[in-house]
Amino acid sequence: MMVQQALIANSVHKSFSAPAEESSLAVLENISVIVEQGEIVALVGPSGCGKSTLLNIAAGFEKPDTGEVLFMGNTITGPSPERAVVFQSASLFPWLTVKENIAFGLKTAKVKPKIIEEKCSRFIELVGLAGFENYYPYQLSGGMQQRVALARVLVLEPKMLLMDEPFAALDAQTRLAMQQVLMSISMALKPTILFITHDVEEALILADKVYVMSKLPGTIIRELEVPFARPRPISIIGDPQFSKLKSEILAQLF
Amino acid sequence: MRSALRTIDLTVLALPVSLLAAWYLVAETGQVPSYLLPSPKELVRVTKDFAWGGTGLTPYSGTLMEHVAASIMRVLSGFSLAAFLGLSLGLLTGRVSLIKRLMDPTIHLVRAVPGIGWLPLAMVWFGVGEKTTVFLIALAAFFPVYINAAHGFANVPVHLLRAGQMLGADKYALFRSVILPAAFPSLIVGLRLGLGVSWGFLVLGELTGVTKGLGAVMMDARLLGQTEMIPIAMICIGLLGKITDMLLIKVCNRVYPGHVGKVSG
Repeated sequence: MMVQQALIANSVHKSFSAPAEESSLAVLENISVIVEQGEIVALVGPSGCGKSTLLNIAAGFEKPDTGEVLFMGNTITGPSPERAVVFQSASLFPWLTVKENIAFGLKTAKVKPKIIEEKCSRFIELVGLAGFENYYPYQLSGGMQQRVALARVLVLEPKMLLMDEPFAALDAQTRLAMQQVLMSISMALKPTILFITHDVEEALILADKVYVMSKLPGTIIRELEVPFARPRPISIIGDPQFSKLKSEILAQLF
Repeated sequence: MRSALRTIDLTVLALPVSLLAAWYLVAETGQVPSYLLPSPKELVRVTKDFAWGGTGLTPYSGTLMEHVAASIMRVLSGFSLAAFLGLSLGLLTGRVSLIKRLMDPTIHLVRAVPGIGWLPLAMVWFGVGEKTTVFLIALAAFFPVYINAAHGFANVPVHLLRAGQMLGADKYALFRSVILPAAFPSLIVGLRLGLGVSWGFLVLGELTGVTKGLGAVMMDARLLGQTEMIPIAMICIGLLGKITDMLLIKVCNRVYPGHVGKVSG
């Protein structure tokens, strides 16, 4: 039964102290989160509520002060391609082409060039970037850069995807398009995803389960299962139950 | 830029052409004696003789290549030393805060002494000539290489480091595929500045008593009253500086062919 759970956060506390300051700022307080395998879990909260800190802990970039975060039953000790991250800024390597960026992880893992070639072209196709293989990141739009960032981690077939407000910097239409891309990918690959967002609508469109976080110090104030079957069309936004959930959560956030 | 070169802009040419014409007139009419300002025609003849010999116009007839070779060797040894030390110390202080606190303030203290100020001490330590020249070049070229390398290595964006880590890069892979390419534009800037400084300090070192080298030619020609050799040696140093800079850029672009902010020659 334990194996079913990909990520478990158990009463995690985290605070930061600014240099030259005596007091410290509590960012996360008693956070407990569970992500089942194959599940998409969204963490919604106002900006600056510490939700990205929780993701950084899950990614292994930071350590909790107290409490534990387990991945597949083991304590997380550092970053790993098993828990691949899509950042808010695409964070592509500007000196590499689209294809070289996507091949980065495979090359690092010393996969054979022929297999790298095959996998890269498959995932370039999947995220809809065929024809842009030899472009550099600065030549792409924000949405396309995020597609590269997505392909770069998907190609490693990670056990879990950690997505830190990946579409927050995009314009409204591109954001909708990217949500559809992610949706169709999740139908095809069934990945386990922890998705951080401040956009309640985005959380309800994408996730199976939503955790709602409070303002600082961040605590979980609500956990809910999203009752809509997948795949969900964009028109779900007009569904009365959808609107009701959305306004409930928004009311809790303010 | 390139199209501006293709369609020749007469405004740009006006000043150098009139200067050249004035120089020619003043020198040819004998208004200024040739030991103060040799005429352009004379300069061309002496340059040919300097390069290929045969006419024996000056004591330097046909010796261009040996002076050039001597100067290039000194610049290469001094600059290589500066590049090696500057890049490796820059990496250490840029990435390791303990080493930065340990070394960086002292390095900047030493930097505050102008390079020329080291000349007398260097002459005491290394004697007149070869070693002193290489020492001065290495010392002067070290600082721009070091400062830019330390800055470049220290300012690798955290999000790129994290991206590399989560994609599976260990310490070595992270250095080779993230830190080095991210710092690369700064490294190039430092190396180019260092190479430029190297040519400057080559002249300083060579003025102080070596027998071969373009700086030595300049000083020697002054003593022998061969004034026309001085601008020729100056032009040679200028050209060599430009050529070595272009070669350095070629090598750098070869190392990271797709780098954004690729430098142009």
